[in-house]
Amino acid sequence: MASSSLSANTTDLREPPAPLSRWRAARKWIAAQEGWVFIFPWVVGFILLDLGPYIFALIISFLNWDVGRPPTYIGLRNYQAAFTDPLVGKSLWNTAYYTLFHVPGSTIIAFAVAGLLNQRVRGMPIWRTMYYIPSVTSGVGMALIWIWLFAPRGALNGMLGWFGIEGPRWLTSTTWAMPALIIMSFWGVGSSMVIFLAGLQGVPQHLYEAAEVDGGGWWAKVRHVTIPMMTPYIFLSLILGVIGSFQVVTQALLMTEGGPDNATLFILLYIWIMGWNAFKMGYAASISWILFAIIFAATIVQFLGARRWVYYEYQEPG
Amino acid sequence: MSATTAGMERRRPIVLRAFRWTRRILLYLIVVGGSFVYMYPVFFMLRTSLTKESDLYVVPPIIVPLPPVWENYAIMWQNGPTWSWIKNSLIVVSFSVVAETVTSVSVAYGFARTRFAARDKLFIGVLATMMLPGAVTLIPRWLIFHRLDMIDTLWPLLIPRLFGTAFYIFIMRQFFLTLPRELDDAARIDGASHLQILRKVVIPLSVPAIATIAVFSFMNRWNDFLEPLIYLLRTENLTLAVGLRFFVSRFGTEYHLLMAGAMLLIVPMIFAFFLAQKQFIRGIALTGIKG
Amino acid sequence: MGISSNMTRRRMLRIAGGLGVSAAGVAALAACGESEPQIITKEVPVETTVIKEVPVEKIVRETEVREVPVERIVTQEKIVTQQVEVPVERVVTQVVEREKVVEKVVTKEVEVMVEAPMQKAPVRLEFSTDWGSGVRAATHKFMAEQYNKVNPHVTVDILIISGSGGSTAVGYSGILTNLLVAGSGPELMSELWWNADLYNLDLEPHMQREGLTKDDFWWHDGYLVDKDGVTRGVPYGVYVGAMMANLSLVERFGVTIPDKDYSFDELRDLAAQMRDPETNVWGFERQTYSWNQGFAERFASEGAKWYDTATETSTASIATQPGGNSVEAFADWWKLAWEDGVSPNTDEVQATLESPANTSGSNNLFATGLIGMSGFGYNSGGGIKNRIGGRFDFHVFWPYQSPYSGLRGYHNETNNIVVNRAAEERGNAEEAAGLAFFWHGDIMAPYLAEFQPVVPAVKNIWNSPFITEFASGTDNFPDLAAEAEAVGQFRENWVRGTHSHPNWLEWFRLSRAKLTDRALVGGESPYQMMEELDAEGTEALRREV
Repeated sequence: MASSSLSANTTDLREPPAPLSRWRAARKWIAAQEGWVFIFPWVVGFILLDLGPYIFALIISFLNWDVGRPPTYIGLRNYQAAFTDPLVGKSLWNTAYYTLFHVPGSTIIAFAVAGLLNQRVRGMPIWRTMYYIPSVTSGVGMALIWIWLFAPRGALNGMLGWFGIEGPRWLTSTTWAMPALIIMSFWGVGSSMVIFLAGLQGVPQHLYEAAEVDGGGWWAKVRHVTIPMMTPYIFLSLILGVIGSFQVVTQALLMTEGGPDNATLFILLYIWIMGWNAFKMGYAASISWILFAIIFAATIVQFLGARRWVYYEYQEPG
Repeated sequence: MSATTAGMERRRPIVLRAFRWTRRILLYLIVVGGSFVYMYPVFFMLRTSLTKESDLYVVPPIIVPLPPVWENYAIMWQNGPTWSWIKNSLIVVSFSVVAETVTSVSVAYGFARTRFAARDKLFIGVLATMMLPGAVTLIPRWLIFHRLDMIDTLWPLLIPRLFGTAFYIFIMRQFFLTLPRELDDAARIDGASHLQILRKVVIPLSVPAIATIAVFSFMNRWNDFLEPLIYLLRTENLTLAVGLRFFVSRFGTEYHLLMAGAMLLIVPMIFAFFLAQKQFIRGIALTGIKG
Repeated sequence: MGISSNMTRRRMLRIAGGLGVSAAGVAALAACGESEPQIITKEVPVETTVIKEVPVEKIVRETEVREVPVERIVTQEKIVTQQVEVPVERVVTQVVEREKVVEKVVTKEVEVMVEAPMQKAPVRLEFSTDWGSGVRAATHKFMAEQYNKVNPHVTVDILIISGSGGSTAVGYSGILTNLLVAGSGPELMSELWWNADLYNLDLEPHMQREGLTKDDFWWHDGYLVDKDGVTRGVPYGVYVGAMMANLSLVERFGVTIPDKDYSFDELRDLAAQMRDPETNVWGFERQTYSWNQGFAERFASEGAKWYDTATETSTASIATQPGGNSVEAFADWWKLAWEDGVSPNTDEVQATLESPANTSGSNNLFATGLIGMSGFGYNSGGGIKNRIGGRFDFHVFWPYQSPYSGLRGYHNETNNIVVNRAAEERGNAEEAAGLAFFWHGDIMAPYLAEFQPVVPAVKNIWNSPFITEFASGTDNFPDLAAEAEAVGQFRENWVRGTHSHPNWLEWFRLSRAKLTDRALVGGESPYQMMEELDAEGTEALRREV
């Protein structure tokens, strides 16, 4: 199964697969409106709990508001300030840096771990649990343990020492604090791993058999069967990874407070600090909208790009 | 992979056994070794939770506290109304898992399998709710629930779950997109309604994915700190994840107790994950339909 | 009796708990509650329920009622044994304090009846804190119970709100802010100074009613009195920076700890004598925190202000004190690690702290027993003691003197209890303010002094044997505190507080990045860092929005 045949399968999602007669089209349209019934709960929730707050956040981004006192309208000054604030730039850069390594890194690791945990090994439920638990362990406790693991004489540098490498001073180094947080994030791949694991169950066995008939080895099967069949899940994991890494706050808050020298000041951490510590709500809101615009653009780009490489089985004509 | 070895069997029967065994041992080593690497931080939390407070500051460090100080767990337990916290957590979690899963599956079906006019524009709305940072929407949401006089009750933690969760909707929609279209087309020809297709065709095929989001829902709600923190106030009304943070204050942290609390939080998640795995595995049998 | 240093608090409690148990046993045996009514009275909730709706005449009867059920319950032995199972810490405090309290209750009751037929409606107060465990939580519980005993119509609910910890704690103040905006904030809040003029009650008249003046508290002008001169807080506890030494190491190196008048240079020499690279013992813990005998204290003793709110300029490098020199003072700190090598730098600190619990928090390094001398904050004494757990004894002594200005390096601050202005509308302002000052009354102050979650901010408590016997050397504490007050407090100029700059947080992050994260960690030139801080700090302070 070559990749060229894959892209042929990915046609536009909204295009109906076959031409229909006018009567059937009308009936189909009516039936399609049934979809509203299904998404109704979400629409209600969106209007009540999301849309209102978003409009509110948009309004306060034009205000100077410290929550307690009556706000004053200041036009675009919050946005102007955000664009000239060196810490906004720095925190965006930090976030991009994290995303660039965290997203591919954790996707690959989650994929590999899922593949490993899909093997026939005795006691597999136990091993799977052990891989999963660290990613759902209480944020504070975990952060404190990791501070210790990253200590100059901590476990990680001890391990590097076996290979004769003198480990850096991770969390207190402006160069290494961010890599440290990225490494730590690889212990949190549990949810991606679970998604992949669920996806791997759905790869039809006959495809592997077919690959075998063609004389394909282990890598050929991964390359030409597993990965193509898993593209929807890989796509999902990438999207979630990007959104997630733009919203990192806990680790940085607990482990470095954004330091040293603002090297781990993530954009969301800066928003939190501005909003809930300095009580500059208008300013925090304006940075939030800038962040929103960036994530949104990144997600749209991913969706557009996805048409080229993601394979959805249901597009195949019956 | 066993199929690969089967293929080799035909060609190289002599080295087969040795090869097979090496491969198997290697596999076990990687799986087991990796799981210990992953659990390493958790082991250390356990160790800290069993150490006497003043022993935490001894150099060189005490790696294995002997005898383990189980009293830390008793102190942790008695620090607050732990039973009430567990009860509240269970109410929130059990309600959320059911509500979130049911609604998210239904909404995701709407987005993946029906073709109403504004579908794709609305789906952007779903994505948007995942993306806009919660830091600024926190106040308006809080004020809404305050207006409804629901602060310090569990309602603000329960009501939003009825409307589905963008994250799970997204996962389920992506999953539904991978299901062969001809299955519901066939059902449609038989005159089945969308609801019937969802119940009879789509859900049975989606058990692994539904189990996945149910597990996520369980974990996230059980661990959730921020929402209960801002919506619940009185000590007896809190959830476990918030109550066990009482050991952290601006003046200092009681690490041994904090870690004991963290271990208490882990236990139900181990059980939940352990049990839910059966559902992932069930998926194997179902793939036969496609073949 | 004070707690002798070799007797842990836990042991104390156990003994006291034992006393409680035997007292209960005696009561049960005697079965005629006259002699030992203490424990049993607490079990009777009649007090609160009866008062709620009945007028005065019945209150008279209520005092009789109070004795009746005592007898009745004493005969029921089961209840007495249940009493024993209550967590030991609380029973102790009850037993210790009871006798005083009972007297108070009686006199109050008489007053009520004699005075006016004033009908006291039940009042409910909420007090917010982030003290959620151990002795800290027990302190608030004790306060709530005792206040209710003195004012039976008032019930106090303690609202524990967890935060994320650290200087950028987002939980605690954020939640309180939400509550205040919505008009449902608690009546009392510890450590919240946010839009004080809008939300905090003017405490001046209440203070007068309690017979207190501002002069009874330490450092009242800096933190409790707002920019407009209104008193909007009551001190919660005070913080005085001093020094402490590990007595085992002092003995081992045969050094003499100076008493009072010694210079910073002498401190450095002393630290050098206690440095032993072989055993990884360091002479002095140079904390990278800005407080706890960090460089902030040095700056303070040089008379330097971090920034000038009037001119909106960063002024850390300018000493206003004659003879002061804050840049050199900071450079001295820098040299301790990078030239003298008597203080561990950040890497060495982390390397020395080999346990996960050690990674953050003040004085944890000293608690390892590998540090000769360190800064000591009196408000964290209880914590230090728990962490050391009797492994060695320590000695508290005066801070060193600056070679430039001749002043000692103190770091003084108070945190505060504020009363929500909304209490006036709710009609419980009087009780709320009363509770704030109750913290410093005859019941709470000795308790605080004994258990040390904070050091009480009223001056007369400072001679308390509980404080002076806390560790070796603490007996000269009152003198030390008096001098520290003369130096003045410092905090308000650089973090959120009464006189802080609106852009304090931006400025603070910047200063920490320059001084703590770079100069003290990476060994970069302190002079250059200070210069950069001045320039960038001023820019940050002047930034709009």
